[in-house]
Formats: sequence, structure tokens, C-alpha cells
Amino acid sequence: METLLEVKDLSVSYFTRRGEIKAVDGVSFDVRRGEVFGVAGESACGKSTIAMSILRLIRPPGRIKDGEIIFDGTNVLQMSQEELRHFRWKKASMVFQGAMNSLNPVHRIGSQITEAILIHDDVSRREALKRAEELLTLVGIERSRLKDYPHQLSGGMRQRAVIAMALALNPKLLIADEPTTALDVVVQRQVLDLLMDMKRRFDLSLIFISHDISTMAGLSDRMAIMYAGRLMELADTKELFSSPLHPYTRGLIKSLTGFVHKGERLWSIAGSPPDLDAEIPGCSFEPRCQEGLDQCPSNRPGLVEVEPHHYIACNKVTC
Amino acid sequence: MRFGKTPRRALLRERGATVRQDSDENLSSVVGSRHRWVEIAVAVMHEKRAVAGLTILLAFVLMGSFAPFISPYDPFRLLGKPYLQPSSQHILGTDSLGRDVFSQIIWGARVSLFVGGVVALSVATIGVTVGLLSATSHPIVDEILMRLCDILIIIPKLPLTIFVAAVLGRGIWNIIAVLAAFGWPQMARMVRSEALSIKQRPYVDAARMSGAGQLRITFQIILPNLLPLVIANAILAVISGVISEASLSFLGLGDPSQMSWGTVIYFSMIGGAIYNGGWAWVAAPGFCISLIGLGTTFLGSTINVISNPRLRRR
Amino acid sequence: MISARYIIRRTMNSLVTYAAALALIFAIPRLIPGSPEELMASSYRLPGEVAAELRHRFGLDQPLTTQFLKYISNVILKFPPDFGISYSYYPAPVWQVVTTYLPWTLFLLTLSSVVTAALGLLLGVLSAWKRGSVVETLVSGVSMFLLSTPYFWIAMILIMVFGVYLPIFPVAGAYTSTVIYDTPFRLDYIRDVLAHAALPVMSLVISSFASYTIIMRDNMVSTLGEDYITTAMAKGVKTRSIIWRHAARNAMLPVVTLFILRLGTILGGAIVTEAVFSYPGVGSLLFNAILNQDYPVVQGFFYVITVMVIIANYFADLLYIFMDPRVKY
Repeated sequence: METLLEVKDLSVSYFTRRGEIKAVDGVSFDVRRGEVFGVAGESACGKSTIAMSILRLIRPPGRIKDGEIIFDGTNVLQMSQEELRHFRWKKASMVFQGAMNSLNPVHRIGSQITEAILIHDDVSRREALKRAEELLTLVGIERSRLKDYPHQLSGGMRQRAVIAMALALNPKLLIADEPTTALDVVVQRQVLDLLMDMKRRFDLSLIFISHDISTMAGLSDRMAIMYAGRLMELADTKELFSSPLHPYTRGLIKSLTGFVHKGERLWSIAGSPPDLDAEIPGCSFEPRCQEGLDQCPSNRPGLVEVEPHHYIACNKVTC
Repeated sequence: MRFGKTPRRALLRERGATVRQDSDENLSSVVGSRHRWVEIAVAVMHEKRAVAGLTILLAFVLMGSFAPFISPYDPFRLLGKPYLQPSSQHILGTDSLGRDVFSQIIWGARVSLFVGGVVALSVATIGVTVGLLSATSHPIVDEILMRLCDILIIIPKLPLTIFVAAVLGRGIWNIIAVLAAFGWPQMARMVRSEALSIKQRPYVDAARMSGAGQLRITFQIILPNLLPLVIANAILAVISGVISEASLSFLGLGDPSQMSWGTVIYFSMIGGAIYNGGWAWVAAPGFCISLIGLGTTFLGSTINVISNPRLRRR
Repeated sequence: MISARYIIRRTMNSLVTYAAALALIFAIPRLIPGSPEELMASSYRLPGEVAAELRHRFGLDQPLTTQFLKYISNVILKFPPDFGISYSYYPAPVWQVVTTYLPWTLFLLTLSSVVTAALGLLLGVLSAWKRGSVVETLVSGVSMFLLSTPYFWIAMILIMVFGVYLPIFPVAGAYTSTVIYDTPFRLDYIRDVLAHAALPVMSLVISSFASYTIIMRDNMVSTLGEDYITTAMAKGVKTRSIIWRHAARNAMLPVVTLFILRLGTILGGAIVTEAVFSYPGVGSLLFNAILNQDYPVVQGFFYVITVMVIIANYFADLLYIFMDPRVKY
């Protein structure tokens, strides 16, 4: 399959009064055309930062320190403002975490969608409105809702409206950052089904970001596991779940609860993620790892392909 | 106590506080921690602005307190030629009656800050009492008290204070009484709304479930959690008091036996400072008032922002 | 989304406040030690019988309840409200006196409020957008300093600068009193009025824009951090549009209400400013009235400005609901 997006050695830091916080530290992966690529990990592991970097939305005090983001042959990080304008939303768009906040509360839904269209395509207002209507219908919202304000829609509908807005210009890549958090289970299912439906219809590549691995497992073709700003493991979903190699991945999978029997304890990985403002010379997972080697605190493992299409960053496995 | 770059989590753990995952609510939800004031004070001291503000305030407070010792001359004493320009003899020159302006400024700090401080204290006391009462009593009591506040807030304050001050007569305690009488409603409103919001918080429910009575809840939980807000606003009330007193004095309603900054401006106005080259005489008192305002704003707003995580959205 | 129910409730609210204010205004002059007619008589050194006659003339010899009822019926049932006759501008009725002075104050107020709001808004947006730069530090610093600067002091400084050292603007009065204009609609009259208004308006603006700037800036900063701004940027919206149509439009909401609610404070400032500039507005009227113990005029004054503030607050609430589609009542 062709590669649509290549992320090479991406490093993004936030420069605050406390010092440099390394949100993303040397991450590389690629996304192929037409695939669903999942990025999983705990909160503040850098997943959202990666998503924002792809569209170059990182704002001060954050800064993309290093790396390349190559979309369809062009490095996004070196695009001019004009090229960036043509890239954003037209080639790649994003659905942010918490749709309620992605919509401007004082503008109507319709105008927010048509705004996206009118900026990029040279069409009349009427045509843009028509397209907006089509999009809403596509995601299962009545046309009459075009005139409504965001607060008049339910949470699930808002999420769908945001998806409609993201698809307005027929992008090749859609990044969905925690699209189902803050929604109840039934609505979650609807939104996920919608996403997959859109993906099939428009032949999209989808980057799906979440902390909920079990949901992602059902949708993603391949998955990347992130921890403390670094990539730990990357493989086809089936492979990842059938033979997880990284201690962190194994821990995550183990902590997934199926039905828990009475008296059984819920298992979780002991400890908490590290503060990202400190220098971590070795493996970032080491403090919580049960299988650490002597070199782990000081030797940072690189990403190595130990089996075909199965990458891992772990001293124990690669040494 | 280390004032270095200690990560906040570690500092809080040291102090015996419970550190929750959603760190935003940490400071204001740590109930009953003996070290809460220390936490807030330490956090405030970390902010350059607050330190600057506190320094300014302290400088003026000291200036006022030690006025009898540092003032070069008696502010009321006729010393020499009027409208003298600033010189080494008279740092800010002399006024229309030949009195030393610099001494007036120093003594002015004493009077102005005294009035500001007492008014702020009174406003805080009355405001907290009424606000707490309103928030924890029967809805009818609440309604009546808040209506009273509404009326007092709606009628424009300055004309009312001018009128009452004019009627009561000149005298420093009259002025303080008037300013306090019309200043408390704002504080009461704020206290009430904060108290109501504290009442909704989970730890109050927790306390109630473990058997705490209304009085205990009010005084041991709501009140302590209110204090940072009250202190911050009381500090801001100081400058409000200073300016109000200055306004009244400027209009001739001040206490003639006390030389406050407002009185100095009043004298400069009727003494024709503007037309007689008395620029230092005009500029100095107003500048001092603004400076105090700067200091109190820095300090007060920092305390507000730190103790109320909801405001902290940078 | 305004419902009729809300309008009714809000109107009732305002009416209750109005009623209470009415009662308070009635009470205040009567709470003063000593009676007005005796004070008047003694200040003009009139014999005792005159005092009694005055007392009767002004209806002060009747029982308090009667006085109150008469007061209410005079104020509410008649238009224009009848506050009696001014003691010091005798025999002019209070209402006439107050309304003669009111227009000048309103003129000052309106002009300065508009300029203040506009300036505050602009500077707020500017300092939020240019966050961390020299511009922001400068604007913030100056604003914080000016936040607590007394109106009258700024007025005096301005007089010093523009009246004495750089005489450009006139420093007293609303117009050149030595010239007689046959109609107010002449260009030179308008120029004259504006020239005389320049310094008072400037001093009001300088001393009040700071709070708008700071609040607008804070609001803008938090608005700019919202996800929908990032979304707008991702969509490719132009920077100017992001600042104004997306961010400022949201950040402005609390400032709009603040602006109207602050009218009461600006009124106080206007009064003091009038004193400094000898501007013939209700401020000067109040001072003279207090000096001359002309309590009917004082009452009339408070009535007028309280009603103005109540109405302003009422419209502030309605305006806010109109501007923010999220608010439901």
C-alpha cells in the first residue's frame, strides 16, 4: 500500500517557566492510504500533540523542535503560508477532542461549515450552503439544524456536525482525536460507525487517537502505543494483541477488564507517568517496568523492527 | 522551605496535602489541611508581580507608620516662600502657603492608608457576615439581604457618599463610616456567591454525610475556603477606600485637621497650583495613589488567581 | 433566546428596585439631623415665624405618612415628576432645574463612555494578540497604573499640560460663555462645545479605559486558547477574521455588560470632573444643592440618576441575552 503520511523523528516541546516539557520526543511512523491508524496511550503521552503537529497547529509556548512530516511527498513543516492554506482542511483535517469546544458558540452550525468551504473553494454562498446540507444529511442530522447554534444540539449531534465540517473539503486524511470521549456508550457506537462509514465512502485514511485501546482495537488496521512522548510499540492490530512484545503494551492489555468476577481485583500498572520536564536519558517506562534490565535507566532504546512490520522500542527485546 | 524550582506536586506532598490526579482542583479542595495558607502564600510569593505589589504596599505602609520620624518638616507648618520649586531643601517644593509638600506626602500616606485600611477591614467584616448569612440562611432572609445590596449598589456611590458626608460633617471617622456603609454590599454579594458555590462542592457533601452540623460546616469549611477571595478583595478594597477618601477630600468634605493625599490635591486645586508652577505639588499625591493602586492590584489579583483555579487559564 | 416570562420577571425586578430606591430617596433627607426649614431660616437669619411659614409652604408640617404618600403620588402619578420647588432656585420647580443641567452631563457621559469602550476594547484585543511582546507589557503596565488613578487628578494634570504649558484646549465651562449663539446648530458652536468637552472627556477616558482593557485582554487570552479558535485556524480562516469574528466576538460579551453597568461609576467620575472643569452639569448642581441645603433638588438629582442606572442595567441584561445565544431564560 502507498504511504500517505510519513512522520520522521518528530520532537515537539513546550517551553514554559518550569522548563522545557518534551511532549513528543523523537517519534517516527507512517500512515498508508486508506488505512485506519490508531495511536494509543495514557493522558499526556503526546498523542494530541502529534495530531496538532501534522496540521502545524502547535502554538507558543509549544514549538516543533525537530523532525519531518511528509504528506504526499511534501514536508508540511516547510510549507509556506500559501501551501499550508491549501493543505489544511483540504488535504488533511481534524476532529478535536471534545466537539463542544470545537464549535464557536456564537456562530450557527451552517455558517461554520460553509466558512470552511468558502475559504478554500471558489463557489457561491448558495452552493456552499447546499454542500453543507448534504454533509449534515450524510452524518445523520436534519437539514433544518443548519440554522441552530451549537448549544442547541446534543453531544452526539455536535460530534457528528464536527465530523461533517471536517469532511467538507473531501480530505485524504482525517485525524480524529478522542472522538468519543465524553459521550455515552450508545452514542459512542454511533459516532464510531459513522466514522468508519465515512472512511469507506470517501476512501479516507484515518488516524484514530484514544486512550481507550479496546475500542480502537476493533477499528484500527495498525496501532502505535505511546508513552511519555515516545513510541513504544507499533504493529498490525492483530499482531499487537496476539503477541504484544513491549512490557507496557502487555500491561495495558492486561488491565483491560472483561467481566470481573466477584472478589477479583482490578489490575493496573503500578506507578504514574513521569514529569515531562525532566531529562530522561534511558527508557521512559523503566520506573514502572517489571522486567527492566540494568541498562534500561541509562540506555534509551531505539525503535527496531523485530518482526516484519512489528516495531518496538525496548532494551530487553532488542538486545 | 525551598523557594527554588520545586515541582508543585512535590511541594504539596511535602506539606501533607492530598494530591489528586486532576491537579487543578488541588489547592482549593484541600480541606482542613493545616498548611493551606502556606501553600497559597508560597505560590503567591513565587509570582514576581505579587512580590512587587507587596513591596510597594509595605514601602508606603512603613512610610506612613514612621511619618513622625522620617518627615523632614511638619506638614502644616508655614515654612517659607510659597510655590517654591523642588530643591534639596524641599524635595517636592512648597505649596501656596509655604508648607513642605514632601512632608505632606509622607503624612498623607499615613492618613490615606489608615482610612483605606480601616474601610477595607470594615467592608470585609460586614461583607463576610452578611454574605455568609445570606448564603446559609432561609431563602427569604437571602432575598431580603440581596435586595438591600442591589439597591445600595444601584444608587451611584459617589453622589451618595458626597451627600451623606456633607451632611454628617467633616471628620475622619465620619468619612470612614460612610465609605464602609456603602462599600460592603459588593463584598457581601461576592461572598454569598462564592459561599453558594462552595456549598455545592463534593467535600461539603462529604462533611455533611459524616455528621457535621450546619455551624461546623459554615465556620470550618466554607469560611476558610472563602478567605483567600475575601483577603484578595479586601486588599483591593483598600485602594478603593483611598480613592474614595481622596475624592471626598478633593471636594472639600475631608477632615481639615488631617493631611491625606486627597486633602493635598484639594489644597493644590484651590491654591491654584496649576497656574503657579506647582507641578510637583499636583503630580505627587496622585502619583502615589496610582502607585498604591498598582501595588494592591498586583497583590490582590495574584491571590485571587492562585486561590481560584478556575481563573487560572493561561 | 428571550422568553416573555423572563422579560416580565426582569421588569418586576427593576420595578421593585425602583420602588425601594424611591423610598430610600424619600428617607435620606429626612434622616438628617435638624429640619430643612430651620436650617434655611437660620442660615438666612430669618425670624422664627418665617421658619414656620416655610415649613407650612413646603408641606413639612404634615405627618410623615402623609408626606410620603404625597411624595409618591407626585413622583409617580405626575409627569414630569413633581419634587416640589427648589429652595435655592426658588420658585423654579426641581424638575425644571435638574433637566436644565442634565443634558450637559449626558453629553459628557455618552461621549466618554463610547470612546472609553472603544479604546479599551481595541487595546485589550491588541495586548492579547501580541501577548508576550513589548506592546503587551507596555499596555498592561500603563493600564494597571491608570486603573487606580483618580479622575480629578488626571483632570488637573490635563489642565496643567493643555491649559498652561500647551494651551490648546479651554479648561472651563461647556462653551465660551462670553459669546452668544442664536442656535445650537451652528458649526462654530459645535466646534466650541467640542473644544470645551475635549479635556473633560479625555480625563474621563484616561481614567476609565484601563479596566476595560484588562478585562478584555484576559477574556481574549482565554478565548484564544479555546478549541474553536484552533479549529478556525485549521480551517484556514484569515488571521484578522480569527481575531475579530471568532475570538473578540466571544470575549466581548462580558465587557458589553460591564460597560453598561459601569455607567453608574462613570457618573460619579463625571460629577467630580465637572467640579474640576466648572462644567455646567448635574454634578455642579449637586454640589450647589448640598451647599445650599436644597434638599428637593438633591432628591430630584438622585431620582434621575438612579432611574437612569436602573434602566441601563435593565438594558444591559437584555443586550447580553441578545448577544449570547447560549443564554436561555
